[in-house]
Amino acid sequence: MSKTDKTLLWMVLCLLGMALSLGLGAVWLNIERMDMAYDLRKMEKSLRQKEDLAEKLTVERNNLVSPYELKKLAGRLGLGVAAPGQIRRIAD
Amino acid sequence: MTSGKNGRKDRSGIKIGFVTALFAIALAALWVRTAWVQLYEGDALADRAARQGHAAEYEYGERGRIFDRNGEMLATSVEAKSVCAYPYEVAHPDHAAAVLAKTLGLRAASVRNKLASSKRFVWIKRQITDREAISLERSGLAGVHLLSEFSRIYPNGHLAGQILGFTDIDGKGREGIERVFEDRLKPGKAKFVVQRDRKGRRFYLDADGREVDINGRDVRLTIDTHIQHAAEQALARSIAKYEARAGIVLVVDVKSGDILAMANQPFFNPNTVRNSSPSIRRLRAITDIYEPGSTMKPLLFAAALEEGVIEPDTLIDCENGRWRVARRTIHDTHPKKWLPAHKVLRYSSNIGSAKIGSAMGAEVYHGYLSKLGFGRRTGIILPGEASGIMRPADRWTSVDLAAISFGQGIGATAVQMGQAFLCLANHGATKPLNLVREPRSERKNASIQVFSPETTAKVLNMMKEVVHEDGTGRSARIEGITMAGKTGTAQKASPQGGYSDQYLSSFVALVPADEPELLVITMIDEPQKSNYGSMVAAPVCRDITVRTLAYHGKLSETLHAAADGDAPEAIRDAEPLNKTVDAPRTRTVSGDAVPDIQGMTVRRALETLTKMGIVPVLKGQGMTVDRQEPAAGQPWPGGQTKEGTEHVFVLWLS
Repeated sequence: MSKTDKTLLWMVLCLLGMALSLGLGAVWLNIERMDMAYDLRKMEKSLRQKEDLAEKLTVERNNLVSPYELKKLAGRLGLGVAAPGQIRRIAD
Repeated sequence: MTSGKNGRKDRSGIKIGFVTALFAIALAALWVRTAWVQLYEGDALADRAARQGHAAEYEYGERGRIFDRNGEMLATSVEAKSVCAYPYEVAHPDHAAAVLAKTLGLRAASVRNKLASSKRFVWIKRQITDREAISLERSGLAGVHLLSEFSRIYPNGHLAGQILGFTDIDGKGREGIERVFEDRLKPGKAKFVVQRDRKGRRFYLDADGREVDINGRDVRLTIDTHIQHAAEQALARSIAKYEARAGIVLVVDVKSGDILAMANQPFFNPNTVRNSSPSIRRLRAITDIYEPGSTMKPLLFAAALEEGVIEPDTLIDCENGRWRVARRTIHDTHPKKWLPAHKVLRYSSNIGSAKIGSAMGAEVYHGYLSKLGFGRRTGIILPGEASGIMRPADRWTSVDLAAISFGQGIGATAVQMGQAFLCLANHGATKPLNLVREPRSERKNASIQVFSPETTAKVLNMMKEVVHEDGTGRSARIEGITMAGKTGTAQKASPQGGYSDQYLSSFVALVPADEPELLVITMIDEPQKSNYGSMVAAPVCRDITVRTLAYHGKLSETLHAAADGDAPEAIRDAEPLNKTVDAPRTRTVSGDAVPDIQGMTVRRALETLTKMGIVPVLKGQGMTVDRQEPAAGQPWPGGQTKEGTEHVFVLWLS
């Protein structure tokens, strides 16, 4: 086998090896992509649940600080609206 | 071909050639097939594969929220589960019906009928609670599914219920702001293509189409929840006290024309629409037409002053409380003979007003009322607004003119009254009322100068006398604050014709009187225990004004401000403050020596010291003064009584 043929053979073998590696790489990437897609789906679901919970807690908070609730609480603590003459403005 | 040792021919070459040919044919066939699949059938197969591995998925956005002017949430949407069933998938309908009925609080027979239905899909119950959803998930009933929907929540309950309106179960706005801004609030729907695996699980492989903004846009009102609450509370108290049928309160910020509160009684809670009737859901401030009565008189006076028909001191014969116009007799509650014009308003003389109206003429007065917006809608965005009733001037008889002069024979809504008085407060220039801050309405700014500023100043001064002198609005007086007001006690028309024995008590307040910042209108419909606006409606206005001013920190600091004004002492004594905490107790503070303030509450000690112009330094924590420096009996710290000066006066608390 001449030197040129040997070089050609090595190049072909290298190309085949690269093709194999690229093929395996593509398969691996595809598997990773699928896994990531599943994970994303799970995370999205979890995020939506948390957002929903946050929204419900916001509603609850708004309910608790609504004027009607505050008035009830103020009544229990003996607080009320200031009448004329009961306000003092004190400079810092 | 060669021969071997035993003479057999060697055919291996043929065999190899044959096998090679076979492989070549097989390989060629594979290449042909590949080419066929890829090149000829490729598109069709790719399409089939896509149909098998992809699915369409819909994503629904959230309905926009409604906020008050300060960003307090008035309406929002939260995710809620709805229960549905595919009857053909339900294996044991009786068992499923029993579980569903128990979990969701439904009738078992009704659920059983739904599950036995021949339909492919039935709703069992929509928008259930989270607790019910979790319980149902645990039961794992076959054929019964939970779907996500958005349900509308109003965290403040009935606060501003009629303004907000409500949505139906499908999330579509049906009344109020929810209906008017349906296009803005309603959520969008996005369709995505997702991949699915063999088990049907779906997942996204790219972000195509995911960035679409599908949530509805928010709406911000001019309403202030705290003032709205104050208005609703004051209104509810008055209605309960006087056993009235209904009531309206309108609070307007004069500078901007923003409606800060629009309260309606009876209340309507949009969270429980099913328990309400249409009459409760009605926003009376815009739908109900009333004959406003004497609260219209300031508008008559403004028109008459503008036309030069009267001056504040023009004497008017009030006929000792009885005057006949055509075949009708007009009466006054406070009979007088000669009164200057400003006292005609102060004592709310119908006869005096009728004479002023007659002197001005129907055409002229009608022109002013038209410019003020009576007889047509204000353009406030809510649906169902009435335009009021105001007949053309050429159809007014002398009796009509007399009656309209004191607010009878003309129909107006509360917002029309608000708009008219806003003009009076705004130096005589009309200004539109706003209910929505965002999105701002694109109404044309067609402000008309109806009255001159000098005229409005005169009218406001007359209205101030109504409250601060011996007028009909004394019960609305607030210590330290000037108020321009007018009472109204209007007889209501009877369905049988003529007037009934029922009344509309009303009061209009402008605070402060000289340069109004706040407009408060109260209307109490059919009070039973008393009719007079001064007794029924004026205290409501006072209460709301006090709370609004306290909320804005604009109440007077001391009661001395009232004494400086024009409030007689006797009247102030007759009207004790409506306190919920102890009133500041008057203490004798010696001008020479420091008083003993040990043992006092911090608040009282501060009151005592601030009267002397001293702001003490507080040390420690607690509510009671434990020690003081300088001690009792020592001279006041002279020449150092400036606010904020350190260690001039120290109080130790415990």
